[in-house]
Amino acid sequence: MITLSTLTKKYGSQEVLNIPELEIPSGQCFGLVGNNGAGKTTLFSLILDLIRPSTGQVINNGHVVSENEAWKNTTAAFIDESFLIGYLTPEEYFQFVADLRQVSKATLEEWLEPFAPLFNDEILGKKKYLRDFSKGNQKKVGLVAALIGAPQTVILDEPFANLDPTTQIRLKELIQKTAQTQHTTFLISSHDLTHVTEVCNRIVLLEKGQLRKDILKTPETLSELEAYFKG
Amino acid sequence: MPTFSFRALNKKKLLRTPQWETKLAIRLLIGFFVLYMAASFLLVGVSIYFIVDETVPDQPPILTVNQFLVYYFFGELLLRYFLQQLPVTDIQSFLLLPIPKRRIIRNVLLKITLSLYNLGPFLIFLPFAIVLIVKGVAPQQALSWWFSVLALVLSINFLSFFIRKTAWIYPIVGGVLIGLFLEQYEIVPVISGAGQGLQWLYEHPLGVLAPLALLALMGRATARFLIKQCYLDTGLKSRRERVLGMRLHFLDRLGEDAPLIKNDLRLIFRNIRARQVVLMAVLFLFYGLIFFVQDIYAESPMWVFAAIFTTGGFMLTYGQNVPAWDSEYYALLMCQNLSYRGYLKAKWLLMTLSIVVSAILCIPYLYFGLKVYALILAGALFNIGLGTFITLFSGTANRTPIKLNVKAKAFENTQAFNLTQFLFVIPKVLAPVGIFWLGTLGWGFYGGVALLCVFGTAGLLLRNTLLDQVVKRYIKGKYTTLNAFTKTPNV
Repeated sequence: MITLSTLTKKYGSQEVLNIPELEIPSGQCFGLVGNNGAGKTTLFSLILDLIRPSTGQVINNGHVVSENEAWKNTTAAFIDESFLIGYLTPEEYFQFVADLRQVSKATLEEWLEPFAPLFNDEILGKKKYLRDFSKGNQKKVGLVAALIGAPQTVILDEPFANLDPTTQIRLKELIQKTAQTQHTTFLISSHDLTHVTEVCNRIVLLEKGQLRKDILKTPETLSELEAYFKG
Repeated sequence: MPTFSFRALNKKKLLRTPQWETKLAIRLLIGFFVLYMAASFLLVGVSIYFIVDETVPDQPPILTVNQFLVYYFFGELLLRYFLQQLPVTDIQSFLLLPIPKRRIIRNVLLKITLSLYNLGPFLIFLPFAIVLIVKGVAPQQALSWWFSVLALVLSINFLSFFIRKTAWIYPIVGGVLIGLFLEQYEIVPVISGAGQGLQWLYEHPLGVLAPLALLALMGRATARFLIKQCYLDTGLKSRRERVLGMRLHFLDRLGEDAPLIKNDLRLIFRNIRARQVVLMAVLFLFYGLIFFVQDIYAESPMWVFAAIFTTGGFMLTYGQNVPAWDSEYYALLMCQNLSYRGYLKAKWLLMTLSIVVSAILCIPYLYFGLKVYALILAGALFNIGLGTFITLFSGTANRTPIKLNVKAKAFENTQAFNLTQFLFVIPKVLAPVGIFWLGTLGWGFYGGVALLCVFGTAGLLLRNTLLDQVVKRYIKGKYTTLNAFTKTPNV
């Protein structure tokens, strides 16, 4: 469970995020939508303790993230390409993450097998460094690596962007299946309203750092969001 | 309507490089350094005549210089091949704009002609030519010779383009080696023949037309070559490297530190920038040769310098840029199941490993006596026990990200440099000198050695406490470092 309380982030006098209270229970698929500059990445960065909150705190699994590093045992994330290590091959990168999450080499290899359709023969065994892969394939590697070791919470920023249609569909299935079988908490931000409403069971809408909507998904959610963004 | 100007763009590019945007004090320091280097080269240029005249008195200095120039040209070609960065990547942004390709290429050629690497003829050979004139050589003769050298250097400048984009470097190096061989065994005097060619140019001022023609030819050829390279799938394609297989299983016995150490080794071997720096570290091994061979330094504090540097090369060059080496993916490390302590401990282990390996590689220094090697070992112990922690501690002041797979430009190594880090040189390098000196006051040479060992051992025994202090400092600077490394706009 992740709890945010009186969380704000200011740069100078400009407030970019202000969330009085928000609770994300375990096992929830939490979708975050909003236009550019709404504060989505800021929110994720605060949850991952990558930036310091101006006020308030984030409590992940009972630990205040800015005071204790224990949340790292249960949380994984893929925000952007800076989460990849460019000079490693995909295999080495997976192994690196697996080593840190105490997953053995054999377990990792077995675990990777079902991803073959997602990888589409373009990732493994290519003898290529990650920095030489296309953006889409880099993203696939980062997303899959975030799932290694069955973390309780997975945070993905714009996971659908840059992916080809087939991969987008497979990724949706992957997230839904992982959430169901492992009760993983997913925090997903996206500009793609269709995908995010399909995958998530709760949608939070940010605008200019403020929480504007917090809805549990119903069949009308998509049209409600579309109506909102039409302005 | 304003017209488009490459010059305005180039100016912006120059003024907006990180070097310019650093603090004024550092800019001044770099400025002084550049001036100092320029002055040193000028001094060399002025004094060549007299040095050569003294060492090879039986022939005119110009002849000696001409014979030596072939090696100079070759050295310069190699230097350019390994270090010079070509501004080809800039081409891509202009391809779709309404600018003729010829103009884009002309700008690239101009840029590489104005490169710092072409200052040699001006700083070294122009003063030499002037000295020649002062010494009574006809001005037209000295100056035409200088123009010939300039034209040849600029031709080499263009040649470096070709060898970068093709595999020409091998035949060139091979050719020079064969030339050296033929010369050495006096079969065909190729190298001195080339020297005589230069001498001929000197004796016949009108001969300058030949190098000038060569330069024009090279310039045209390069322009044509570049025009052909202006496609995304030829010259502008980023070269894909072959993967360097590194199965580092044997490191697994290091336990939880293994993944990070493996990662660091891959970082070093697979990235241009890291390789450059580590190569420097290897050169540090020879640092002792400067001091241990000369009697005037015998058992003096200079020996301590040498002892610290010979084993601490990696610690000083690679270590001082921790954590910037990981800047490209620092956010990943901060989110992984990995504590700061684990991260820093792995770095410490790696540096310690390098110091131990260096100490072993330094065994040949025994040739200079037992005292020398004893001091080297004491220096190594000091480096392991204290130097490494000071290095890690000072790393938090270093917040300039490093682009791993890009060659360092001239003075870019100073980019990650700042005053705080400079101040840490005192405990790292000067303190051991002082400690040694204190020891010698009481108990002579071996007293100094022993005192260094005491300090090193103390650091080693207190390593957990020291590491805790370093960790505290890193955690304190975490957000600032992340912000500097990711350079995300504040939105």
